[in-house]
Amino acid sequence: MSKTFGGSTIADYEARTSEVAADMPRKAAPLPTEILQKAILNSADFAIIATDAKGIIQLFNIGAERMLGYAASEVVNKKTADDLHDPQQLITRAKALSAEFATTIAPGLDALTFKPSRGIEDTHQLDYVRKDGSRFPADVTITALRNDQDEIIGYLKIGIDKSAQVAMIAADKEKRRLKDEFVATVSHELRTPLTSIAGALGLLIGNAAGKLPEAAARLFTIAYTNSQRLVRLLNDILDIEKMESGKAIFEFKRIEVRSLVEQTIEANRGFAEGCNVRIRLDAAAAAFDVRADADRLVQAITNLLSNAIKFSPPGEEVVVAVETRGDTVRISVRDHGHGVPDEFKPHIFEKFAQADGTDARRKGGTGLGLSIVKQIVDRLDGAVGFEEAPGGGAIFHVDLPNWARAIRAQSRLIMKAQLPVLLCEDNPEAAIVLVDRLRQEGFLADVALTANEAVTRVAATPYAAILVDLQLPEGDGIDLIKQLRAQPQIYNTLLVVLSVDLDPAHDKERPSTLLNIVDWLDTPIDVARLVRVLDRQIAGNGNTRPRILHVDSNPELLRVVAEALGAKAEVMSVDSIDKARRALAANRFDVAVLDVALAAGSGFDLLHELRNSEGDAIPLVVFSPPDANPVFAAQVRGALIKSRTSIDNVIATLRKRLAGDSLPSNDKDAA
Amino acid sequence: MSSCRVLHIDDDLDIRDVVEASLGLDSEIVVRGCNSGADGLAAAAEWRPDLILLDVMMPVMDGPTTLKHLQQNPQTADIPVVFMTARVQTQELAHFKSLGAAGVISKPFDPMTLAALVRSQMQPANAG
Repeated sequence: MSKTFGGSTIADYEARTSEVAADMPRKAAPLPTEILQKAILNSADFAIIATDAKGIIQLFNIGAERMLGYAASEVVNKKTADDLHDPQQLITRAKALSAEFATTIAPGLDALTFKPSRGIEDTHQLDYVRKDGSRFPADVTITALRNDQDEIIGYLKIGIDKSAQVAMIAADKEKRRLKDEFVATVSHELRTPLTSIAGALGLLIGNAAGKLPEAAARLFTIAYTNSQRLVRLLNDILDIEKMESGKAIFEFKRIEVRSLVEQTIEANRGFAEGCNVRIRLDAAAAAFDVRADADRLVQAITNLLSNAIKFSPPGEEVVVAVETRGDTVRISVRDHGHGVPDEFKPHIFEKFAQADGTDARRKGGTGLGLSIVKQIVDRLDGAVGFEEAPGGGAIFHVDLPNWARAIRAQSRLIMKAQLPVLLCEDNPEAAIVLVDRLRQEGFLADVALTANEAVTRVAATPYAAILVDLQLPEGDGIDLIKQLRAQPQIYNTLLVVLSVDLDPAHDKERPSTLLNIVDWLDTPIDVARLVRVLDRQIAGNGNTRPRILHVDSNPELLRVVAEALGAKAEVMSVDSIDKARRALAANRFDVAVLDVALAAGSGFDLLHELRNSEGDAIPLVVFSPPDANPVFAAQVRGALIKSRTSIDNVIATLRKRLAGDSLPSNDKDAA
Repeated sequence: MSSCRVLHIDDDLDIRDVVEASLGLDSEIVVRGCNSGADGLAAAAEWRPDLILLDVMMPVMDGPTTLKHLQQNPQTADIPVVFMTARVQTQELAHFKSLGAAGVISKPFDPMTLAALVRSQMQPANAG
C-alpha cells in the first residue's frame, strides 16, 4: 500500500504526532485540555469529521486523511459530509428512513443527519468513498453538536474502518464454501474413475472377458478387492465429514431393534462366511423399540459386526445380543479375537485409529468404522463402549434410550432434534452470528445470502422453518416469500420474517417482533389459494374451533372468505384497523388475514400487534397490490422491519412454533 | 427374458464402456450410449428405448434437468428413467424419486449383477 494519501504523508503524520508528544512533558500537570484533545483527535484510528449545521466539513482529522486519501485542505469548507459516501447508498438509506418515520427524507445530507438532528442515537454501516474512488465499509456514528441554546451548530461524524472485519467474514465464508466444494468434488472426481476401475476389474474376475489363468485371476482379485476398499474409504470419509459438519440428516422412526439386528446379521453373513466365522443372534434377544434412523443404526451395527468378524480367528463365532437395562436398550457384539490392547483403548474411537495398522489394513479396514459408530450413536442420543469378554475377545455395545424414554426426552428437547432451518440473510456478519447460535441450539442451520440462493436451497432440502430477512438484495424479502410459498413442498413450512439485532443489550426492553407470514398474496386474490392455505393452517387444531381474523376493506372478499371457511372456523371479518384492534383485544386468533393497503400509514403498526396473549406472533396472510409503487413497497418493508428483534427471540419463537406443530414429515412417527 | 433396449447417458466414456460390457452379459439387452444430456434427449426421442440409465452429475445439462426435458416431451415421457449416481443417502433417494425417477443405481455398481438390476427396475413400469 502506498504511504502517500492525498498529499498528506506518513512522515507528516509522524511529525505532527511527535510535535504533540514533545509538547506534553514540558507542561506541568494537569495537562491542558486543548492539547489532550488535539492528541486524541490526531492519534485516533478513526475518521473524525466535524461539519457546520449545513453539513460543510470544518474539521478533518489525520485518521480521516489516512482512510479517505484527502488532505484536510481539500475538503474543509469545500465538501459536505455526504460527498464522502456512495449516493446510491444514501438513496437507499433515505428510503428506509422515510418508511420508518413516515415522512419524506431527501437522499444526501438529510439521510445522514435526520436521526441525530432529532436526538436519536445513530450508528449504522455505510461505505466511505476514497479520493481515488475506491470504497471501504465503516461503522458511522453521527452526533449533533449543539450550543448553549440547544441549537444545532454542526455534526460530528466518527467512522471506524470495518474492512478488515468484513474481509475476515468473507474469507471465513469462502473457506467454508471451498471446503464444501472440495468434498463434493473429491466425491465425484474420485468416484468416476473408481467406477470404471471397479467395474472393469469386476467383469474380468467374473470371467466376462473369457476365463482367466489362475495367477491372473488372483492378481485381478487383489486389484478388485482393493478398489472396493477405496470405495469404502471414500464413503467413510464423506460420512464422517457429513456427520461432523452436521449435514447428515437423520430420519427418526420407531424401530424394533431385534428384527433390525437380525436383518443386519443376514446382510453380513456372506462376509462372515468368507472369513470362516459364524455369526448368530443370542437366543435371549427380545423385541424392544427405539427411536432411531434405521439406515444409520444398521450402518453402526454393520461396522461393529464387520470389525468382530475381521478380528475373529477362523472357525470362531460372533454373538450379537439385544437386551434391556432399565430404560436403555443394549445391542452388543461379542467376538473371540485378541481383545483390545491396553495402550490402544483410549484411542479406539478416533479416526484412522487401528491397533495393529498392518493387520487391520490387510483385512480391508478403513480405520474409520468405530469413529463412524460413535458419531451415529451420539446422534441417536445413545452411548457406545466396549469391555473385555470373559474367556477372551471383546464385547462392543451400543446403548440406546428405549422408545418411551426417547419420546419423553423428545418432548422435552423437541427442538434439539436437529431440525433443518434456512436463514435468508444478506448481511454475512449477522448471518454467521445467527447461524452459529442456531447450530448451538441444535438446529441444522443453512444460510442463503441471496434470494436466488434461498430458492435453490429450498428446492433441495425440506426445511422445518425458513427465516427471511426483508432487506435481501436482488428481489427483496417480500418477493422471496411469494416465490417460496409458490413451491408446493414448502406450503406448510414455518416462515418467519425478521430483522435481527445482534446487540444482546437490547434483549430485555423489546418484545418479540417476529412475524410469522403464512403467505403473501397479490390482489386480486386467488381465493382458491387463500382457502387452501388457511385450510392447511387451521388443520390439526384439535377440538377447539379455529378462529380467523380477516381485516380487509373489500366487503366482497370479506364475505367470500367467511363463506368459504365458515364451516370449519370462526371467521371474524372487520373492515377497519380500529375494529381489528378491538377484535384482537377481545379474542384469541389462530390466523390473521390482512390487506396491507388498508393498513397503510399508521395502520402498519397493526402488523406488530398481531400476537396472542402469550406474545407469540399470530400466523399472518398478507394481501398487497401487485407491483405496488416503490414508495408503498418501501413503506411496507419499513413497517415490517420497524422493530428489530434479538437472536433469543428468534430461537424462542422457533422452539415454540415448531414444538407446537406436529414434527416435520421426516419425524412424523415420533409425533 | 424378453429383449430390451437401454439408453445410457453418461459423460464418462470409460463408464459407458463398462456399463455396455456389463449389460452385454445379458444377451437380450441392447445398449446405446450418449455422452451428454442433449445427445441423450435426441436419442431417446428417435430410438424410443425401454429404459434410460441417466448419470446425475454431467456438465452443461445435468441428470435432473435431462429428466425434466424427457418428461416434457410426449415421445419420451413414458420411458422409465433410472439415475446412476455416487452412493445415495435415503433422503437423496426420496428426492430423485420425487423427480419421477423409476429407480437409482449407486456408483460404483457391481458389473456382474447390473443387468439383473436394470431388469428389476423395469418391472414396476411394465406391471403398469
